[in-house]
Amino acid sequence: MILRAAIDLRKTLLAALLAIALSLGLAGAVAGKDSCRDCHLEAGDELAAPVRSMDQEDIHASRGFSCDACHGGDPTADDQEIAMSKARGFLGVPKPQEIPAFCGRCHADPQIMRKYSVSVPTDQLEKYWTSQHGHALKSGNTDVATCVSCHGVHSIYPANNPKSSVWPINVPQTCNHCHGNAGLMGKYGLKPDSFKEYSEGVHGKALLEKRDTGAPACNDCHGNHGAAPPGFETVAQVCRQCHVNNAEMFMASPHKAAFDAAELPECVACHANHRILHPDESWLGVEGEHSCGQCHSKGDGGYEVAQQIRELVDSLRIMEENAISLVGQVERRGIPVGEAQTALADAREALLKSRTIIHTADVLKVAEMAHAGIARAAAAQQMGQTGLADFEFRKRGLGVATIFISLLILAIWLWIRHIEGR
Amino acid sequence: MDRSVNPDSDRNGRRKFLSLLLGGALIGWLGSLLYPLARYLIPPEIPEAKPTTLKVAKVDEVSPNSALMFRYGRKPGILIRTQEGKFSAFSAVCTHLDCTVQFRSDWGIIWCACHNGRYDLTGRNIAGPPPRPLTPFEVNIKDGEVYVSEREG
Amino acid sequence: MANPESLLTRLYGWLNERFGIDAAVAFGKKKVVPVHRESVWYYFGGVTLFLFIIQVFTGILLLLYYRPGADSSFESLQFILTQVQFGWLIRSVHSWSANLMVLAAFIHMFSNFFTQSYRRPRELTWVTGMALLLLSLGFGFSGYLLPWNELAFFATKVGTDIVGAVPIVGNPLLIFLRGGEDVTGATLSRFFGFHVAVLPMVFTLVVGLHVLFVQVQGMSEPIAHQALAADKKRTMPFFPNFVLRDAMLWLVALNILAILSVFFPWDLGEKADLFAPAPAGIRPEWYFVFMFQTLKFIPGHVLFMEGELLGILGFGVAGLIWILVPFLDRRGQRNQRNPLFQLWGWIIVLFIVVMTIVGYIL
Repeated sequence: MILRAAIDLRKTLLAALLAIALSLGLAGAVAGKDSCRDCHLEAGDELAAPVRSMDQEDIHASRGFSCDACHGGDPTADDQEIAMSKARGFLGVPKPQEIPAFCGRCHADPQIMRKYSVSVPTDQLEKYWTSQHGHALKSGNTDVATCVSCHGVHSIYPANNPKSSVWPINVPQTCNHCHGNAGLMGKYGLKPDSFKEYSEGVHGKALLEKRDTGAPACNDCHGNHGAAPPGFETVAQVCRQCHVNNAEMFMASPHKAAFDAAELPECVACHANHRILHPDESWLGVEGEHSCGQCHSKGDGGYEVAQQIRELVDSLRIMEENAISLVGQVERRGIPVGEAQTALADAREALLKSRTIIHTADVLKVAEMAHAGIARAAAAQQMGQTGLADFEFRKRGLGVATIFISLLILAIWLWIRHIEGR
Repeated sequence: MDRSVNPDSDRNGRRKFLSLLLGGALIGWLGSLLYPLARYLIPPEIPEAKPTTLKVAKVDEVSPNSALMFRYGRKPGILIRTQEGKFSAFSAVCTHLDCTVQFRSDWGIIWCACHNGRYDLTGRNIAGPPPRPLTPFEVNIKDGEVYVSEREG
Repeated sequence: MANPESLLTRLYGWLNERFGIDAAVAFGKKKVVPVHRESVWYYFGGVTLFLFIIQVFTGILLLLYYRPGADSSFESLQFILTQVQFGWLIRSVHSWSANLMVLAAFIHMFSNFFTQSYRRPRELTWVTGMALLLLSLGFGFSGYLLPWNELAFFATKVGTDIVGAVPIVGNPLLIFLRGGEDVTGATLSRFFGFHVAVLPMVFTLVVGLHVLFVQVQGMSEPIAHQALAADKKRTMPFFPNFVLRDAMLWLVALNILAILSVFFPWDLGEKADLFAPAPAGIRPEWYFVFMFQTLKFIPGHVLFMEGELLGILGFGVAGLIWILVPFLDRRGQRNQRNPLFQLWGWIIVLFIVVMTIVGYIL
């Protein structure tokens, strides 16, 4: 009896063990056994680095991809020889020239990408081959950027994640990795100071200091996958993305044809490309290194136009400044200046518009806006004068009251002296 | 007049002079006090503080698919009438860098010329740099007049 | 033909028949003011009262146009300043007079301290005077919020925050003052009620007592003067001599108010925005600055207590001692000078002056 029970027990135990082993094996297959991660982590140092850097926010990891999705191989196989065999589709580390196609296996295939994100574009590879980087890579130059140069390789975050190397505010630094390298840039006759210049300009300050993501980073003007400098006759189209009026006015002006003929890079000819600074009135007129006098000389039609435009905008600016100063004085004296400030706001707006309209190079158009602004500034000035007059009235009233009070005080004092018999 | 001759009448004279001076100064002083007081008490032409509701325009003055710029306090505002005839009003201060926006009837949007920022006709920022929608105003139509006021809350 | 003099005499007679004014006139004629080196300080009580009357007067005028409410306070004040004739004048006089009144009250208080006029039998005059000072500070604090501008809003927030730091009673008191957890339109309503109804009523009652005490007990004399023989004491009749001098001084004060209003008009500032962050360098009205600055200097934690709490309790205790000075000054009770108290007085004055200046420089 005891023997039978013991045999039964052994059977039960064996069955149990077998079941456990089977289920572990199944579990291993079903529950995502990842020998790539496990072995590489164990290996430590360089080999473990890719696994460690692929955190949960990495775009591929977050979609459930592991090493095999890109590198091939079999993550369920424990044996390295099997796991990393050609038979199991192992591709290894791609060479630089192979990278675009490597990533493009999925990213250029709409049918694959659609499974993970319906709206994500799939033209990056196509654009890349049209870019300077793509051209160079095709001819065997591995100095240039490939997908991983900008996006990272194992911790790739989407562009809207501030950790991403292609988050707008991080883009200039990402490009600067190569484009700031003097030796590398020197090989191709490129200047290594684009980033420095950009950060000194208004776009750089807006993006990097004020963190205004409305400001352009390198890719907004140069393109990202199809990165190439714009041709000199299409510069205005690039700036037009934001500076609509300035660009359209320029393109409709006589300057467009003239600049194109002279192969001048449109907006950049006056405004620079990276170190773009706030222009001021000294850029108008015919004097100064930034002015129209750079091209126009006495006698040509543009010279006079330049002078006239300068005069118009200057008059408006000066009138506005004077009115602001006067209204400020009046306000400090406690006289209400609401209406005057409204007029000043109008004048300021007219000034901004005038400074835009100069891009038409049309004196009449500039004059129209400048005169409207001058009228408002004059109105503000007038109100300021009235305010000063109001203050004079107050002072006069005070004077009268003081006289009466002083007289009364005097009278009382004399009365005191009188009754005290002194 | 010889002072020592009649000290009493002198005193009386002095007293009368001082009374006159005192009386005159008192009246003058009271006048300089009561004049501003009286002017203050007389109600000004606009009898009450400008309420925060502004009468912007007559309904007929704004045709469909057009807009009217107005001033709300010190800041610019924009009153839109859609193609369907509905009125809406917003602060015309662009949420990017404070330029004044405008209505583009050709595009059916509110546009900021400074950096190509765009808002739809509900004031929502739809393209370009603006980070937030335009601040909406409350619009009320009464007796053929359009009134704009600040939104509660 | 109406002869002004006989008309007045007849009016007097008519009233006298009914109310016995003769007795009051006799009392008034007897009233004298001691004349000595410290006499000049006697005027400051009257100046404070005069400025209070100006406040009531200009306050009522402002009340005709002011509309309390988060949506209308600022706007109605803007209206007063821009549309109402001489509105700017009434408003600036009201603001300046408030400050000058507190200044006059401080001078009045300290001059009484240094001449020990709180000595027996005038202890309650001192105590009611201290109550009046506190009420004046309450007037200043509540009135300051009424324009509902940025400065006022944040000053109120900071001020009531400090009240809230007092243990046990602090938080209920804060909620009572603010009409809720935060400074909102509800706070404005309350402060308006305090400022135009509650405080004026209480102030009038207390000032009535204060002046009554002075009338019944007569003017206090400095110890040295009191010790003189009766015939050596110079006096001046209250009516008309002192009153006329008072009138001259009041007229000067009035003129100063007018000059300040024309050349240093009070600003309106920006409307309060509940969601905006506090502007830099926020500080309360000057008469609170010395306390505010002291609190800022106390380190965050002292022994087991929070620094701010220590400061508040410190000022509370100091205030209490100050109110009890008439009872603590034993030498004064015996009509003797008290050099120790005098020294403390000067230390306190110096402290207040220095801390106020520091509060503005830093």
